[in-house]
Amino acid sequence: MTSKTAKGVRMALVGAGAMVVAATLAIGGTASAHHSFAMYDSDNQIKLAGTVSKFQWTNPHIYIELETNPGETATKVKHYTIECASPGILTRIGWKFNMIKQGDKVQVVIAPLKNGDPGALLKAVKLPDGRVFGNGGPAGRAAIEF
Amino acid sequence: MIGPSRSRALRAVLLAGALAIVSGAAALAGQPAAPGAPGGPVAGEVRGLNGGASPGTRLVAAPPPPPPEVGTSLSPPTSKRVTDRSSFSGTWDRYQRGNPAPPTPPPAAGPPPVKPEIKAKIDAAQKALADAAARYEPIATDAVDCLPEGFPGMMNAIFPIEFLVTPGQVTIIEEAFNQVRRIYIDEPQGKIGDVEPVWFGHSVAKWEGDTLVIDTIGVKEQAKFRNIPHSDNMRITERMKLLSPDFLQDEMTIVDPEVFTEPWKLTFTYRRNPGYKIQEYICEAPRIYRDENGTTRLRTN
Repeated sequence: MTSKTAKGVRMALVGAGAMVVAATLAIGGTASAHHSFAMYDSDNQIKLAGTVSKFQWTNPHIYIELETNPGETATKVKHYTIECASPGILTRIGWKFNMIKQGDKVQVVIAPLKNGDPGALLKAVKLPDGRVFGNGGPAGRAAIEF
Repeated sequence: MIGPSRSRALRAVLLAGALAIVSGAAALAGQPAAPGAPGGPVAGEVRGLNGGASPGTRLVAAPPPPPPEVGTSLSPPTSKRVTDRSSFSGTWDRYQRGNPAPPTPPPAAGPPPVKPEIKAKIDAAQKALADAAARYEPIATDAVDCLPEGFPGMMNAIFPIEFLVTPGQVTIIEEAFNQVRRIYIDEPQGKIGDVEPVWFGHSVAKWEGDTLVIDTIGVKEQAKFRNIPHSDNMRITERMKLLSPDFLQDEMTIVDPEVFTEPWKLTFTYRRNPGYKIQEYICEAPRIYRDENGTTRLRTN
């Protein structure tokens, strides 16, 4: 378990390095292989803790449906649809299709939808075992630490 | 793998007859059915006829297709996945910078030499994209509708890219959107205006020594690279070769008199990633959609 965790941390660090490179290449949010992330407010990121109600591992994007824990969040919204990058991008920085499961308690740093709908772009996720993963280059870096 | 392969080869043998068995035996022993065999890719001139203005009369006048060449060996193909570093075959990442560097670094891409009136349109579209993004309302692109980039956009290889060299054909697969491009070797090209516009165009090629020279026409208008429009008259020539065992270069020249003042030259360089296996990419149940105003939205629960 220790080596697995270490591997996860190393992967996350590699991912963070890749994000720096990719962020400098991303001009106008067009570097995404699928769509612009401009509808998300990356300047006002928030941290949430909650329980995963669904983990959708699909192209072109992966989604985490999160029920936020009352009293632990910076918002009154109870349910968030959180967009992640694609299986290809995230597999290359260490994610796996079964690393998040329904019922998992996770923490996330997100950029919420600017229009106020209960959706967001993931910046980073902290799993129950403590591993932290970024969301790939095009999604940009987390501005808040766990 | 062995069962279907044998079955296909056997079917091809039965259909093709004894003459083809003799002629194809030496060259294709041990290989699966060749391009042009029953069930395989259709030849360029046949595609052209099907897209012609009066297909009925031309089809009547067309000579019967030559008998396909087939192999006779029923031995199974080599099953182990190996990397032949003298071949284009394998998986690659587009090289931009960093070490190890290729023997010839890719030159910095200059601006496309578009005509002034085209540039004005592109600039206006770019400004609209930027303005919408600044309002947090990004304009939906084809990708939001699960449409691929097409050619030449797929050669930009945002995701890893795989080349497969088989007898008579080079196949290129880009991971994003499962984009597949088929290039037929030593086949005649169709005529501009007579080939069906498709996302990846119609590509034929010849080997000039170790360089594969590819000619492509018939790219669908909707398949835009870097938001640059093109006409039916666009013709793209590529010179593809290994710079070293682990670097592949694709020198591309795009000619379109209706869009460019001179040929637009681009170079893509790829670095071999021998351990990588291309992942499946099905654009499945997207939550991202295009609203009635053409804005990209996220469907939340």
